[in-house]
Amino acid sequence: MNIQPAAFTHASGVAQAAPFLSVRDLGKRFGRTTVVDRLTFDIARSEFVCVLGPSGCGKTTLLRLIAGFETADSGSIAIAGTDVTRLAPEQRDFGIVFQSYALFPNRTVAGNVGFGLEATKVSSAQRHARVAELLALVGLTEHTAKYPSQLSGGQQQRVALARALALSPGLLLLDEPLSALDANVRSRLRLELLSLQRRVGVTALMVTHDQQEALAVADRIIVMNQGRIVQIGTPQQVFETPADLFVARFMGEMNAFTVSSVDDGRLWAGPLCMLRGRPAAAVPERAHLCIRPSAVLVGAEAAATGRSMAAQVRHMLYLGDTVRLSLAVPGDAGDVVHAELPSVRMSSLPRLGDEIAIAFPPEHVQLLADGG
Amino acid sequence: MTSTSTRRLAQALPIGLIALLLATIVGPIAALLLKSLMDRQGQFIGLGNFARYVAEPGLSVAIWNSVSLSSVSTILTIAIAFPYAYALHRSQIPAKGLFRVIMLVPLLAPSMLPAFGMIYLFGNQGVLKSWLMGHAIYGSIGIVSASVFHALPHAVLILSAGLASGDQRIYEAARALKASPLKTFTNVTLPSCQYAIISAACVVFVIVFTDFGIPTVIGGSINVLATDIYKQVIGRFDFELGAVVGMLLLIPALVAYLVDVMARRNQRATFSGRSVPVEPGASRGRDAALLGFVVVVGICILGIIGMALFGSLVRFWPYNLTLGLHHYEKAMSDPDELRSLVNSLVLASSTAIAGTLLVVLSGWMVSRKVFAAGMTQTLQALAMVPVAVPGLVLGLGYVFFFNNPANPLHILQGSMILLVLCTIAHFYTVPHLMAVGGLVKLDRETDLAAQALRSGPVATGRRIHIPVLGPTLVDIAGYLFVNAMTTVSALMFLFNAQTRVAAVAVVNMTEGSRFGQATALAVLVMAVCLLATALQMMARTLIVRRQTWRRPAS
Repeated sequence: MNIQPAAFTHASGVAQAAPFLSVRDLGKRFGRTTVVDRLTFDIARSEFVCVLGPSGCGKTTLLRLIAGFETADSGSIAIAGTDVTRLAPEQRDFGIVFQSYALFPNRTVAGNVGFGLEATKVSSAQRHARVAELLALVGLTEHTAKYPSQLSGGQQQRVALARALALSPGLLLLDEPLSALDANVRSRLRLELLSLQRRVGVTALMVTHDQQEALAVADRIIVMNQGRIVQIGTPQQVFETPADLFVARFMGEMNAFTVSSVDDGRLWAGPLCMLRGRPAAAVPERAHLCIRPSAVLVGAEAAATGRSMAAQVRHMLYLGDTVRLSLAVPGDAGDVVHAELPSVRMSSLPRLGDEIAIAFPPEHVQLLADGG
Repeated sequence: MTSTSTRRLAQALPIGLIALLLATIVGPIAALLLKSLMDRQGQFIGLGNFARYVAEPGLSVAIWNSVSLSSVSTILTIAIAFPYAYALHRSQIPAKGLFRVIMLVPLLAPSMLPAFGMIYLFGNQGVLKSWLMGHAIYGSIGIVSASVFHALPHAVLILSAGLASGDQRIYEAARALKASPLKTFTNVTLPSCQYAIISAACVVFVIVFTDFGIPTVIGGSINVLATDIYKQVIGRFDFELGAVVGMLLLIPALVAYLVDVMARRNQRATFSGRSVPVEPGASRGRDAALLGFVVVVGICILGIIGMALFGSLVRFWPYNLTLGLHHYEKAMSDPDELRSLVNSLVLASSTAIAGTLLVVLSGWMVSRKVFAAGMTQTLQALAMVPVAVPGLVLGLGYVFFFNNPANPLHILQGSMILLVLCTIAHFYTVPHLMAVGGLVKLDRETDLAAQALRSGPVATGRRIHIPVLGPTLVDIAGYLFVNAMTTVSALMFLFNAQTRVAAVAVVNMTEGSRFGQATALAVLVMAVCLLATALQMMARTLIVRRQTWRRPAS
C-alpha cells in the first residue's frame, strides 16, 4: 500500500527541515459559519501531502486560501519563507489543477501549456522548447495541436497538470484532480501524478475526499472535519492508529461498539472486550471498542484461537476478491459484526443462517473516542 | 502602461458603466415619476395629475381599450404561437427550417408594416374587404390582427425554448405507464412548458400594450394609452398628463415582468441539467394537422408582408395597379425622407457598435464576477430594468431628464448621441443576457487557472473570453441593429428635423396621408434589416468556421 521512499516519510505531524509551506492559525468564515478553524501545519519541500475529509469540511477553502482566491480572516500563510497572506494569487508561487480541468477551450494543448509563459520574457523558441518538454513529461507529445474538446478526460487532466507546472512553481495545488475521471483512468493517473511529482520535485498539496487516493499517493495525510484538523500523519498512522472513530470510519469500514461497562481492568463493548492496560488509562466519554472487518477471524482460524464464539450469518456480499459477512453474535442486544475475508481462502461460501466461529484478535481491538 | 495604472483603469470600468446605466435608464424613469407628481410650476401635488387624468372625459376609456385589446391579442397570439412552436419541436413535419425562417421575418419590419398589409387587404379599398362582412378594419379588428402578427415571432421564440427543453425520459416513462397521447399532452407537455407560456403571454401583452405604430396606422378612432401619451405631449403640450399616462403604461409592464421573473425562478427548479432531448415519434394524423396549420400561418405572414410590398409598388391603389418604383422614387427624392433613412443607418450602426461594446463589458463583468459582488449585482440589476420599461415611457423620461437645464447632460439634447443612448438603453437587457449566457458556459475555474498563470482579468478577457464569445458578438450586434432600425416608440419624443429616423418618418407620412410612400419606406427599412441579418449570418458562419476548437472530436 505504501509507496513512499523513506526520505519523504516523516514520523511526526511537523516536517523536519525548514518547512516549504507554513500555515499558522488560519481562519476563514463565510457569514456566521466558520469554514476553516485555526489551522496550523507545515509541509516540507518536495513533500506530497493530501488534505482528506468529507464534503463541506473546509478542505477546498483551505486550498483556495493558500492560492489566494479567498482572503484569510486570521492567521498566516508562508510559502518558501515569504509571508503571502495578503498577496494576490498572481504574486504567489504556485500552480493549480482543478477537478473540472478548467482548460482554455479556444487554445490548443500547446496553447494551454504555454499560456503562462507568453506573458513572461521568455523568447518564443525557449517557450516552444519548454512546452515540448512539459508535454513529453505528461506523455502528450502527439496531441500538441489538438483542442481540449478533442481529448479524453484523462488527457485533459494531463494538459492541466503540464500547464500548472509550466512556470516551474515551488508549490503544486491539486483540487480533487482525479474525481471526474473513470475508475480505471483514475488509478492509472494517480500513479503518473505521483511519479511526476517525484521527478519534478515540486511540493504538492492535494485535496481529496477519496481515502484510497490519499493513502496511495500521500507522504502525509491531513484529515479534516468541520473546519478543523483531526489528525496529521503518514497513511499508515492514519489508517492503523486513527485519532478517533470519525477518522477510522472515514479511512475504511469499522466495527464499533459503545463501551458499556468497565470492570476488573477490562472494558466491555458488545461482543468486544479489552484489557485496560495501565490502571490510569482514562476512558474517554462516549468511547468505542473497534475492530476492522478484515481483522475479524472466521471459521477454523477463529476456532484455533480457543476464544471463539458462534455467530449466525445474516447477510453475505460477494465482492469478487473478498466476501463480506454480516454476523449476528449471541446476546439480547442483537449486535452484528461485519467480517471481510479474501474469497480465495474460503473453501466454500457459507450459507445464510449457518453458524460459524468468529474471534477478535486482541491486538486489533482499538479504543476510540467518538470524534466528529 | 504599467500594471498599477492598468489596474486602476480596470477598477474605474464598472463604476463608469454603472454611472452610464444610471444616467440612461434610472435617471429618465425617475424624472418621469417626479413629473407625474408635480404641477406645471414644479410644485409637488401628489396624485393630483392622476385625478385630473381620470376626470378627463373619454380618456379613461383609453385604459380600458389598451387592457382589453392587449388581452385579446395575447390570447390569440398564444393560441397561434403554441401549435406553431409545437409543430417545429414536437412533430416530424417537413421543412421545419423554412417555417422557422418565415416566422422570423416579421421581426425585421417596423410594426407598421403588417398594419399596412392589413389595410391593403381589408381596408376601405382592400382586395378582401368583403371578408370582414361589413366591419371596418380600422379600429379594434385592425389593432388586434396587426398586433398578433407583430407579436407572433416573440411568442414562438419563447415557446420554442420551452418545448425544446423537454425531457425524453419523462415521455418514455409516460408510455411505460400506458398513458394515452392526450393524457401525456395534458399531464406532461403542458405542465413542462407552462412557464414558457406564462413568459410568452407576459412578453406579448407588454409588446401590444405599449406599441405605438399599429394603433396610429390602423386604430382609426380607437383611443389607446400608447397613442394617448403622444397626443397629450405632442398635441397638447400637457407634459404632466403625459407623465401620468407613462406611469400607467409602466404598471402592467412591471407586473408582467415580475410575473415572468417568478415563473422563470420556478422553472429553474423543474429541469435538471441532464435531461435527454425529446425525439418526437411518428404520427400521421398529428403531423398532417400541424403541417396544415403551419402552412396556413406561414401563408398569412408572407401574404401580409407581400401585400405591403405589392401596395408599395402599385402606382395608385386601387385605381392604377401598374407596378413600378414610383413611391420609392418619390419618397427618396424628398430630402427629409432621404435624410431619415440615412439617420436610421447611422443610428442603427452606432447602436450596434457602441451597444455591443457596452453589453459585452457588462455581460463579462457579471458572468465572470470580475469585480466585487456589490458591483456585479448592481450591474445585473440595472441591466434588467429596460426590459420592463416600454419605449414610449423611456423616451418621455428622456425628454424630462435631458431637457432639464440643471442637468449637465443637457447639452446632448437634440443630438443623435441622445437617440443612440436611448436606443441602447431601450434594448439593453436581451443582448446583456446573451453576453452573460455566452460566457457562463465557461467554467469559473478557468479564470482562476489563468490567474494562477499570472494573467490579469483584462488580459484573460482578451485572450480567453472574447474568443469564447465569438459568434455571440455578431448576434448581439445584429439584434441591436435590427431593433434600432425598426423601433419607433422611444424615439417619438426625441427626434427633431435633423435627427428624425425612417421608422418615425413612416408614422409621420401616414398621418400626412402619403400612404404609398410610407409603405415604401417601411419596406426599405425591412430590406436593410434583411441585408443586415444576412451579413450577420455570414459573419457568424465565418467565425464558427475559423474557430475549429468549437467542433468536438469526430
